[in-house]
Amino acid sequence: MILIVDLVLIIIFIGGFGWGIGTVKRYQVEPNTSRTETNTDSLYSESRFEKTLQKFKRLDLMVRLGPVKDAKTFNYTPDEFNVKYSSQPIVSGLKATKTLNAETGEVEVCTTMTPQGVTVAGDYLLTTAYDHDGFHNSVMYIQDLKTGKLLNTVVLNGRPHVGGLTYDAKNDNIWICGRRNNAAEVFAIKLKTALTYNVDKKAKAVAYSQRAQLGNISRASFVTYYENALFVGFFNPTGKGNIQRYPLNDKGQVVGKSLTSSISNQFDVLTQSVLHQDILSKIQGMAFYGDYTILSQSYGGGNSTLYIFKTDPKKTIFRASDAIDTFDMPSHLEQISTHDGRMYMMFESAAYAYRHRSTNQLDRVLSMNLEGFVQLVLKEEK
Amino acid sequence: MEATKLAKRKQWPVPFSQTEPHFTFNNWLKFFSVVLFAYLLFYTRNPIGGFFNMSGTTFLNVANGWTRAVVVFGGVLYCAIIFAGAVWAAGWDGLSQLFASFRWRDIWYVFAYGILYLIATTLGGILGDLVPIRFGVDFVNTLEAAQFGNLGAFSLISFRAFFMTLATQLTAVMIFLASQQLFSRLATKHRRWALFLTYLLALTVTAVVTTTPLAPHVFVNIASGLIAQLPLYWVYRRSRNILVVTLSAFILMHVMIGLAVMLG
Repeated sequence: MILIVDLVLIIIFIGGFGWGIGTVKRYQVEPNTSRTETNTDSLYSESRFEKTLQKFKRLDLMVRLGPVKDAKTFNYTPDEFNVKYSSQPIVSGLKATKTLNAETGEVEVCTTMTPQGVTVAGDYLLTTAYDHDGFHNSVMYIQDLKTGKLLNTVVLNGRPHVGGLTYDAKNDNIWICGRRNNAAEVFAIKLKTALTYNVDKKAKAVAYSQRAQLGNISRASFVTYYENALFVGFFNPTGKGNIQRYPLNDKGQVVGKSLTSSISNQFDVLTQSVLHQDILSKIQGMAFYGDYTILSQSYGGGNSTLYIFKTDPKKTIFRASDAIDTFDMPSHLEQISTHDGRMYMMFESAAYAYRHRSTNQLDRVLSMNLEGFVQLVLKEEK
Repeated sequence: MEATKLAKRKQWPVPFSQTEPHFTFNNWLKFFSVVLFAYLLFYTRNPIGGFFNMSGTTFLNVANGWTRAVVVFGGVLYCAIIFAGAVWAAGWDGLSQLFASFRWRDIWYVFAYGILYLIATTLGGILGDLVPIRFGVDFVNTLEAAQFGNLGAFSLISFRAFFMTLATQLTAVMIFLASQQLFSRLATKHRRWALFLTYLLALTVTAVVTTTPLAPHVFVNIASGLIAQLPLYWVYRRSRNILVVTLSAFILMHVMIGLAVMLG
């Protein structure tokens, strides 16, 4: 009898309420490392990467699809799928990242960097990461786009979430989402400055060329450059999200506040309609390709999703069902960005904070053929 | 007469196995079920546990009579539940056997074993640090952190901590006695092995039982508890008094915390 009561007590208290005290919080403990530089080697083997990718058939096809002359007419012959798995760049710094201690300002190696943003700037692949434990400064990695070789680790000011970054080629500015004085901001770094930056010389964060506080957004989740403007996305898990457009002047500076132009309204409604669905909540990235707008969504350890919308200036009300198609993706999908007909995707599933509970860890930046992707979507629609 | 008493105290602590009341499996089950209940009440996220495990920040900012009463009563309640379990299992006579009459030398024991306990806790901590862990615990908002806020908070939270320590040491000694009963029966011809296994099992189980959200790493607790709790079992064997054990664990440790609070 006593044993039965014990069992019932355990079920009620542990099962019903859960072990713990409300005032005690857990945090990940940064693992030790003997490394002194940012790592460039992969966490997982290439065969494991292949197996993970092959769980998502359509994604796997689009990643392996190389350049095609006419995507509308080509027949998806095997020789078109000529992109090697090994060509997908390894996410830098997952094991060790050389950065600054946010409290002491000393140069240290961080082992809990969580990758967030990805974009292409000319010949370079740029990615961002923040320290999940919050002890170290956030960083931006610069890799050679063709070889994937790590060229520099750029230390940013403070510990912003750096959910997204984008490149304004016209003005040579890299724009990154940040946060200052409890408000969202975007800040810019000249690509040349980033390439020549060396943390060992002064043990200081990189110099910014611009900082713009976004008064009407409390937290910027991602940023995308499109047609001489920055599109900054805001996400709040419990409230509504929106995307706002910030035009840039001829000098590449953010001018004025958010414009209530037709396009900004349109995207505002678009994301809100997606976010209002109970099972759809977290938009992590946005990319433009031709007439299409692609949103990435991810929350927790479940599969992520890509939503593909056709841009229609006349349309003012969008619903999740208005998406031309949705695309299942591995978990923990973060920023997406487009370059030269391919879409680049960053996943945080291989970060120390998530790798032990993720089902599909990806330690590479994926890029997929966008034209093939769009045609695949359209064919499926027919 | 005195010599006979001394000889008895140097013998094994035998309540519940060799002297009355003899504990059966059912008696042990009664006591440890109540311990389980107290543990679940205070260390799960239930409303009652949440009420008594008040946020340290709340306590410091709203330090009125009510919050003070809640903090102290939390410790008293936890202790009362464990003691109720002992009475349920052993009766008042059984409980009184765990609190032998006080002697002047017990004061010496409190400080001598208190120092040993501090040393053992430090050594245990070093050993515990060798165990790899994957998550840490943020104490910033706990009462344990709030006691460093000021001397008033320290005094009141120490009052609560005393009752929590008393309850914990009663549980630890009962585990020790249960282990002793178990191995004295299983290894009747190998007294040294029985002694070794009694300590090993008691120290391990005590470390597991004292794994709480505040000290959540069970293997760290085992590694450190194997050393830290040892002087407290020794002092129990010397004094046969759980109050002496509690004071050994409590006084010097809290003097050091008090000094830390005073020195800022």
